[in-house]
Parts: sequence; C-alpha cells; structure tokens
Amino acid sequence: MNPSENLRFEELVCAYLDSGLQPEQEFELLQMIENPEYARLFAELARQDGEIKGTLATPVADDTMAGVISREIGYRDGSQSRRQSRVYQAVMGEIGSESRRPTHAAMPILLPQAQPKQPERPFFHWTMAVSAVLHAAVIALVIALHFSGQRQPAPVAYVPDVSIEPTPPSAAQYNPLEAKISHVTGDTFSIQDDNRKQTLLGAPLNDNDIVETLGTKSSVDIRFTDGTQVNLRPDSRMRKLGGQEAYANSKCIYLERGTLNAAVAPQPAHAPMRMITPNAEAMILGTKFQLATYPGQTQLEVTEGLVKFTRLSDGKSVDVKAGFYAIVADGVDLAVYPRGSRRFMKGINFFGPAVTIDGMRWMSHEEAKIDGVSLVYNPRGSNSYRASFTPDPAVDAETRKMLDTRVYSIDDDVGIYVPSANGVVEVEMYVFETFKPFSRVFDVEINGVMAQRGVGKLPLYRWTKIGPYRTEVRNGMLHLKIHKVVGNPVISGLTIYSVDTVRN
Amino acid sequence: MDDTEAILETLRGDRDAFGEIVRRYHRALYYFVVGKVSADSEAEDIVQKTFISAYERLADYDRRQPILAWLRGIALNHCRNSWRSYQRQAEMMNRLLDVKRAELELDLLEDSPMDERRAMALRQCMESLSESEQKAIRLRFVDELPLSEIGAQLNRNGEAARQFLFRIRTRLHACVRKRLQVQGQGTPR
Repeated sequence: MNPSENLRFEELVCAYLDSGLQPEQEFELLQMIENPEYARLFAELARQDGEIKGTLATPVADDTMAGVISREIGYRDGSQSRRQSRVYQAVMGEIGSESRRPTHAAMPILLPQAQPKQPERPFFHWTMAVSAVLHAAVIALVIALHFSGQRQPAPVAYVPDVSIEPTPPSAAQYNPLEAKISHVTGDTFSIQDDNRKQTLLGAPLNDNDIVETLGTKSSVDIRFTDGTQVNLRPDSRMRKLGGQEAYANSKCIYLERGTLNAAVAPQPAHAPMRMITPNAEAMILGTKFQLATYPGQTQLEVTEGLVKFTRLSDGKSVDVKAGFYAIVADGVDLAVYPRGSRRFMKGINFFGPAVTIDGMRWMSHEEAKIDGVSLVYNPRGSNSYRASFTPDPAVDAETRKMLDTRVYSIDDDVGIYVPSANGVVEVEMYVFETFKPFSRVFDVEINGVMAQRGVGKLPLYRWTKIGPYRTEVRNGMLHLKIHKVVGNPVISGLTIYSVDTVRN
Repeated sequence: MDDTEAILETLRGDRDAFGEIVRRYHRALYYFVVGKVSADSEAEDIVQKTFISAYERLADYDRRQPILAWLRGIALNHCRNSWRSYQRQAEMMNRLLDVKRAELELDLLEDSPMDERRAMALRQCMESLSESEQKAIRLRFVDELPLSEIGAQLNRNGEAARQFLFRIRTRLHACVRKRLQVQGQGTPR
C-alpha cells in the first residue's frame, strides 16, 4: 500500500462515515477493502466514530435505568407475560405497557468551552436561485391550521396568527421597499453576504439578506416602511429579494421553508407585493394572510383581502379571498377551501387507551385494530414510557396518556394503514422525545407522496404535532409511511380530518 | 450491600436488590457498549436488554466470576444480534458497504482489555485537539449537523468541512495508535 493509495482510502472511508459517498466511490471503496489491511483500517475508523460519539455522550442517570429495569422485570414477572416477535409484523401486535428506554442527554464532556447545544435544525436544503425560476407561479399559502369550531391539542407549529396589523407609514419620505427587523424571539439568524450571525433587533433587511428561525419558540418580525409587516414563524427561512429588474418596485420575499404571517399595506396596482416559495407565488395588493411551505406542499390562508395563488408546475391559479385557504401539493387538486371546513374523523392513540382530547374521542390501540388499522414496523422497542418529567409544552392528563405510548420502530420505517372514506383528508401526527435530544429525524410519506422531510428532531421532553398533511383517499385506505433517517421513528398518535372543498 | 448480597436477595425475590446491580454497573456497561454498535442510540437499548437478560439468568451466574465481566459477555451477545440485524437490513437494501462493515464488526466484537485503554487514549487525544477541531467534532457527533451546516458554523463550505473532519479523524486514529504503542500495548487490533 503506497501513501497516496492510503490517503485515498482514508478519504473514501471518511466520506462513507459522513454519508457523502458517491456510487462510484462506494464501488472503489468496496474494491479496496478486499485487501485485509484496508478492511481492518475501515473497521477501525468506523469503530472510532462510534467511540467518539460515545465519549461525548452521557448515559441516562443510574436511577433512571434502575427504574426502567425494575418496571420491565415487574411486567415480565406478571401474569400476562408476552413476548414481542423480533420479526416484522404486518398487524398491530398485542403490546401492553412495557418499560421504555430511558432518556439520554448527550453532553460534550471533553469540551468545557462548548456552547449550549444548538437548536434543532430541520433538514431542509436551500435550493433557491434568486435569479432563476422564482417568478414561476405557485404560492400556496398556509392552509388553515386553525379551524374555528375544531379544538385541537395545544398547537405547537403553524398556528395562524393574524393579529398583526400593518402600521401606517410616517409622513416623511420613505422607500417602501426598505425593511428592518422589528422584533426577535428565540434563536434567529441573519445571513448577509455569506456571513451568518444572530438577528439583531432594528437591523435593516437588505436585498438578498436571509433570515432564519430555529426551534419552536423562535420568530422574527419584519416591518417595511409602508407599514407592511411580515412575521416569520418558527423553523422557517426566508430571503428578501431585490436588486434585480425582476423585483424592481415590488416587495419580494422568497419563503424557502416554513411559515410566515403577513399584514400587507395597500400596494400600487403595478407593483404588488410578491411572496414566492419553491412551488408557488402569490401577488398581494393589500391583505392579511399566512403562508407556509415545506417540501412538496405550500399552503395559503387569507383573512383579509384577496390573493391570487398560482401553482408553479402548470400555472393554474385560484383567487383566495378572506375566510378561505388553498394548498398546492402533489396529488391534490388546486382548490379553495373555506376555513372551518374540516371535520374530525378519527384519532388513534398508538398502544394506549382511548382518550378524549379537546372534546374529540380518540380510539384506543385495541379499538383501532378492530377498526382495521394495521402497522408495519420493527417492534423490538418499547411502546410506552411514563416518567416523572413534564412534557413541553405542558398538556392535560388525556393528552399525556396519548403521548406516553407510541409506535416505535427499531432501525426501520413505520408503515401505518388506516381505513378511511374516500375524499380529501388532513392528517396530523404527534411526536414526543423522551430519550435523547435531537436524536431522530424522519421523512413523512402519505399515500405514496413525500409530504415532509426532516421532521422529528426535538429537544428532550418536547412534543410536537406534525402536519397537517393533505391528501386524497381514493381506495378506502390511507397509507402513511414514516421513513427513518436518523434514530428510530416514534409516533404517539394521529388524527384524521375530512376536508370539505369548494370549487371556484 | 455488595454484589453477592444483592444477587442473593434478588434470587430470594427482592427485585429492588437488582436495582443496586443496575446502578452500580450501568455506566461501565454503557461505555463498554457504546463503541460497539452501529448507532449510539442503540447503546442504551442494549444495556437495558443486558440487564433484563442478566436478571432472567441470574440463577446461572457463577459468583466466582466478576459480575461486570459476566454482564459484558451478555452485552456482547446483544451487540452481535444488533450487528446481524444491521447486516440483514443492509443486505435487503443492497447497501454492500454496510454489509461488509457489519461482517468486520462481528469479527472484531470481543471483550478485550484493550477497550478501556483505547477509550482512555481516545479521550486524551480528543483533549489535545484545537478549539476549532473540538468544535467540529461537537457539531458532527453531538449536534449531528450536515456537512454544509458544519461548514457554515466554521466559516467554510461543505467540502472544506468534510476535509477538516477527515484530517481530524486520521489524526485521532494516529494519536490513539501512538499512545497505545507508547503504553506498550502494541498495535491496536
């Protein structure tokens, strides 16, 4: 083995460990580890990665593990001894309360100068090209996540907040395209000329500046000089477009991912405000609305005024007026829906009892089985855990019962099959992190279409609702697939709503 | 109570006595397991399974053997099962490198006194890294950020971050080997 070959080998192994190996490189590395010396080195470097992680991690408290073992032993010694199959199950098994792996907080014990853990980062990839096809249509704005008359568990994400009002401009001369940061909450960053830094209150938002909010408690308010206000919601990222002829005279914002609320002061007819996402564009002359986008889906809800909403893929557009919402998503017709039009169909508390949350009765695990619900997952994990910590945000007793049990797949995806009447439905799921902060990431697929990528990464004891995901059921069965990306997927419960549609 | 008393009490039906064993050996077992699995999230799972298996087989435990050694043996079996499962899944998904890795790991799995020395040497080598190197390690292995984000945090692009991590890994590997040689332990396996 010569030095250059050794160097090449080590580069390939490190690329493999960082999940950055190209297919041809994989073949090259496979060839090289036919050599026993390289095979040994491959194993050593791979093992070293695990040892580095282990060195930086901290196991759960000894008392916690002792408690878990004690409960597990108590269960196994009980009269109802059951064994989980270690093979894939096509139907939900009879799984009762079992001990749950204890929580695990990673701590950089060798890095005393380490900063507090970074907030969770969604795994979205920045693909925007400012001068590219952004003028293409489609901005579907945030679908109504709030529906009057339908109370839900304490909302965590994408709650329409249309309480902001455009503030009147001052009498002095002003440039209506100028904007600045008017409020900052939580972990937010601004990127200007490739320099990333904490967002500063009062800082100007220049053309091509990026603003990013991280974590579920972060947000940024941006105010234009004409009084237009934009509120960037948690886990979102946007860029102020400008400096090019395409954006001359108009306020233009590119929402790369996440949600924003906006209250737009009246705009000149020849220069409407433009909101652009990867698959949609909205032209706004003066209105209040909420816009949310994540891979494959953009949603718009309008509370005042009128927004022309266009789907980029084919240019089809709808006019969304106050009190209505619209969505662009694969597999769903572009249509306008009145707010308050969704109805609770069913809720499922995986591996738990029936619960009543916000007046809605969710089925128990056993009832769901009888209803025809089935799961495909690797069942070696435990499906319930009750500990002394408090979920964040705090919940009532019934919601706690739902969060405490889950379908949990070891090193594999989770498939969920739910019988459902044909028609448009929305699905929401609940994720509760009780083991290790930011330890799991998964992608959500609904009826064969990838609905969202990179969800599930939460701080310890945090729970969240993911979705709603809209789809159309055509054959009486709703199929959800939770794709494991990092860690083991867990879903505590899910709800399904039917959605009434109107065509205009 | 000492280990023997705890075991005897457990065999007499006092499950809480087994909790003493768990508290006493949980961390040692965790650090034994953590470098021997494909994902560190598996380590606590395997530790849990190990204690459950130990409880179920407590009557067979030979008290002349140190209990930690006995627990490690059980843990190694669970690690082997974990790698076999990993190998099966990799085969199903045609991830040939992962299959090969699982084969190599299964060959390497053993309870060796080298493990503790390697762990200590690695710790010492990590402490000798520069501030930016330690930051890169933290971003990669604790925060589990993608390379592009690591690069952004280090004012580099993704490719530069990958190269940086490559150099850190190879430095650590060479450092551990050197320390073990200096300690007279010979070349690590």
